[in-house]
Amino acid sequence: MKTFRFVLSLSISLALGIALNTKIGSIPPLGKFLSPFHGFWQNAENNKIDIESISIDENLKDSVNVYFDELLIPHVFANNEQDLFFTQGYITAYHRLWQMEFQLYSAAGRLAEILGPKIGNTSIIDVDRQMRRIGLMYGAQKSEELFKKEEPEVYALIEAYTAGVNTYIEDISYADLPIEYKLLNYEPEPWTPLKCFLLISNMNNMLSRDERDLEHTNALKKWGREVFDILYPERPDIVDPVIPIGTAFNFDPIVVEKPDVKFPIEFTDPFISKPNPDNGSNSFVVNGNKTANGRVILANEPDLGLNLPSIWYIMQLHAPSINTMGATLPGGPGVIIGFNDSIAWGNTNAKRDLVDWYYIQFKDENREEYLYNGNWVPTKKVIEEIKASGSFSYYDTIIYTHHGPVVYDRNFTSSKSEITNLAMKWTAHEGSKEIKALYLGNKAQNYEEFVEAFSYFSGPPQNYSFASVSGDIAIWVNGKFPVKWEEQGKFLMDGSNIDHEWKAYVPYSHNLHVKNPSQNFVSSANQHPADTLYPYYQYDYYYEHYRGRRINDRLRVLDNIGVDDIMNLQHDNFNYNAFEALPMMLDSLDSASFTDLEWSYYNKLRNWDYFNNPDLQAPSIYEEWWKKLNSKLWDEIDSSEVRVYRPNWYTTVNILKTNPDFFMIDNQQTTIKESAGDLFRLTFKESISSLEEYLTTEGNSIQWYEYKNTTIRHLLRINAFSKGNVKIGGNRSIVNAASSSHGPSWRMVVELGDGEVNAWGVYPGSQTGNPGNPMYGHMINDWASGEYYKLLFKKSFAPSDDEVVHNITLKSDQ
Amino acid sequence: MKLIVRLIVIGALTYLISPFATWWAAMAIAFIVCYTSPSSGLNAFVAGFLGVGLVWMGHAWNIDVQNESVFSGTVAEIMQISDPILLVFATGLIGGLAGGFASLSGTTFRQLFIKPKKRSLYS
Repeated sequence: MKTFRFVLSLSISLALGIALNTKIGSIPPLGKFLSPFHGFWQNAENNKIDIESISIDENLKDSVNVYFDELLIPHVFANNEQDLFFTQGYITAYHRLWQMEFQLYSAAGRLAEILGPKIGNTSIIDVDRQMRRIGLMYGAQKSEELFKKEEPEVYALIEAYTAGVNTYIEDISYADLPIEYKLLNYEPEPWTPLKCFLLISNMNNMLSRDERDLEHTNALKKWGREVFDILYPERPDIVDPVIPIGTAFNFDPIVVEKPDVKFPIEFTDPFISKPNPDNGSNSFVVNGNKTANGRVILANEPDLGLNLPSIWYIMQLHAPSINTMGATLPGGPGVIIGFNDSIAWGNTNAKRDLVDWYYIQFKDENREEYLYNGNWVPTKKVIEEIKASGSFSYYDTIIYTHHGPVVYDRNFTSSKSEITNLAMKWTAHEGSKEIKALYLGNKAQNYEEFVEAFSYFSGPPQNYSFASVSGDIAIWVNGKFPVKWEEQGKFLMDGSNIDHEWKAYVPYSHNLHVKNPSQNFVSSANQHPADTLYPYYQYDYYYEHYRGRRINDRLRVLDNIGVDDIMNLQHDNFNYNAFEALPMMLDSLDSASFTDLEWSYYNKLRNWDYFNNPDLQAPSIYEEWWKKLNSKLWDEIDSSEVRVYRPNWYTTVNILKTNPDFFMIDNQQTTIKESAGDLFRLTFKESISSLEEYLTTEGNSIQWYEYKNTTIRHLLRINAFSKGNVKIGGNRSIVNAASSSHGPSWRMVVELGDGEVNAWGVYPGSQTGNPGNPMYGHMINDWASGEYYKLLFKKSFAPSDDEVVHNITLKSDQ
Repeated sequence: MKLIVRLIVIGALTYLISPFATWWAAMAIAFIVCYTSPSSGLNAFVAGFLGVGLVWMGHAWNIDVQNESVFSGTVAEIMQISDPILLVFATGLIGGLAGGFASLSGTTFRQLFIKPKKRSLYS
């Protein structure tokens, strides 16, 4: 009896202990999670910062001081670069450990290790397989090998950063882990230098992977050449490129002749998810001739996914050989977008088709050899193990050719494909030296050193804008670009044919650039890089066609510019697309037959000045109308059996204006043949009913910001950790590019001259990544309303300074 | 009276040791305390339940008051709980159950040894 009682109560205790220590479904282990000494309660912080001084046994040569200002921006003062980057890793981990690790689990195709094999209907295993197959890790490994061999000094700094992160991870207790670890029930693993390279691969994935080669092949086969050229013209009638029209190119280009080749015209189904086409940026620089005080001003904002914890982390890094400040990426050393005592730099994505697809013919089922240039060439097989939390591992064999990984093969294909075995060629698969470029760029003192530094930058290619205290302005299109013949890689190519391959890369000195142009400004906004006089083939399926023109329109007329004017331009809400499309749409309406309701909508649009300001209603009406119009217009494309894609907005407007008989304008679901005017009238009525419906069901008003609902979303899409309904104007393809989930992820304005550097910045988030910290997300409202913070950029700090809210010392025990 | 002493000992040790140990240290403490002092099963369970439960609830409540329920409100939303104060009670309940059953195990374990029946080898 006694034994029974004991065994029973012990069993209950053990079962309870194990149950409370185990994650069940999406419920975290309740004992661990609720314990007020360990669980989520410990993430409820009352002070905005609590990091403490520590002693470091190894890896630190000298003591390092870190001063936190009111925004919790750390100002790191070290006596040498090793210690500086060690401390960058340590401090970044303090504020952002979960995010820096999680984003690279995603890039490495290891999410199932954390999230399990499935969430709802989404197979996390498939998400991971996709990441493995596009080879982000493959590229990162090559970069690491390259650095070990050729750049030991920079590699040592990456190791110092790694050691800093790991020192933080080793010292952290479960109670201090970020809340996300506790919710998902896992713990951080050691950081490695490879993860820093994977971070660059991840940027490539966001910014240089986008293309539509296979969709183009489908469209060509489906509709023929004439329709294809109407839908997807390479260059519209008006282009205001990154490099001003008329810039001379004084070099002998490498010439590749277009060979006499045939593309394999076969339907395929490119189902891998694409990078978000809203990823883009604006940057502009004006020189002293245009400013009120004769100094130069540089502005930049990368428009990326609006997430919490924020993609950027602001820091000042100071050592005797370096003093730089700006936006860092958690997970990598150095400053990505910023300034130092002599120069400032910013960047925007320099799009060009850098991914090409090759059709591979294997010799037999074993797939050990493939046809290339008349020979059978051996393949390389790699078996990827995808571990899954709470489940068994999944194994996926990926075959590599000299082109790259065979992403689509018999194990990863769709029934809509007529052929499979498509290898992916991508510049990001090659080893590259971006981290060195950034390191040298952080220290560059003048134009020459800036040019030298970013000559090491392969990708994702960026339009690097430049300004110096001495008054120079410049822009360089930096990156590794293959030399292509016309239309090379715009369609699926034949992997067995040597003529289809890339033969050379554009030499760095041939990359587009301009220094101190006569227009007194430079700018970039992901538009076409240059006019047709540039002797290299420049092609991307989507060059943005509105933001760049608006910025240049404004900069041409602005004079006596002050910092405020530049900030206002960053917040410019002019809807260029509406300006070009709406008058045509309104003119087609038949106002004689309007109801009262239709009159009121009509008048709101007629009286609108095309600015997407947050409290107006007209932008919401236009947006709804434009969406409905596109759905009706491109129904042939949306309902196509094979994957194709809608033409961009500019082309859409152009077709409606100049090609009213184009066959797709006709709505397939009706028997009469519609004209563009019919579409406008029909969709105007539909938009009104859908907005009225919205008012009665979801929203209280159709004010633009409420209707748009810009949301800064937590990376795990946890609503309680996100902030929705942010009161900001703008939209995609507007300079103030805040759409519902995308937008200006870091706004920076730097004024340089008279020996001074003054900088302002703001971003939609906070330095702390902890949702339980009182400062979590504190900059979001200021970011939305157009406020900036003056960035503290001093050569020295003292703990007693008024601006310092907290300071720590990392003491060296060596 | 013994109940209160035992309850206080369990509570105090839980409060002092937990920050430096894993969360189930509270269970180990409750087990050991009840193993080392004689008591009935019910008495031990109540001591463990209240000893650990009240300390967990009190500590959580203290954190929550200082934080003005900001973060517990956020977590309550994630866990689909209407009122953050329920999280404080849930914390106490979970701690209490863990402590109570551990105490019961401790005392029943003790009872296996305290009245060993001496048996002759030949009986």
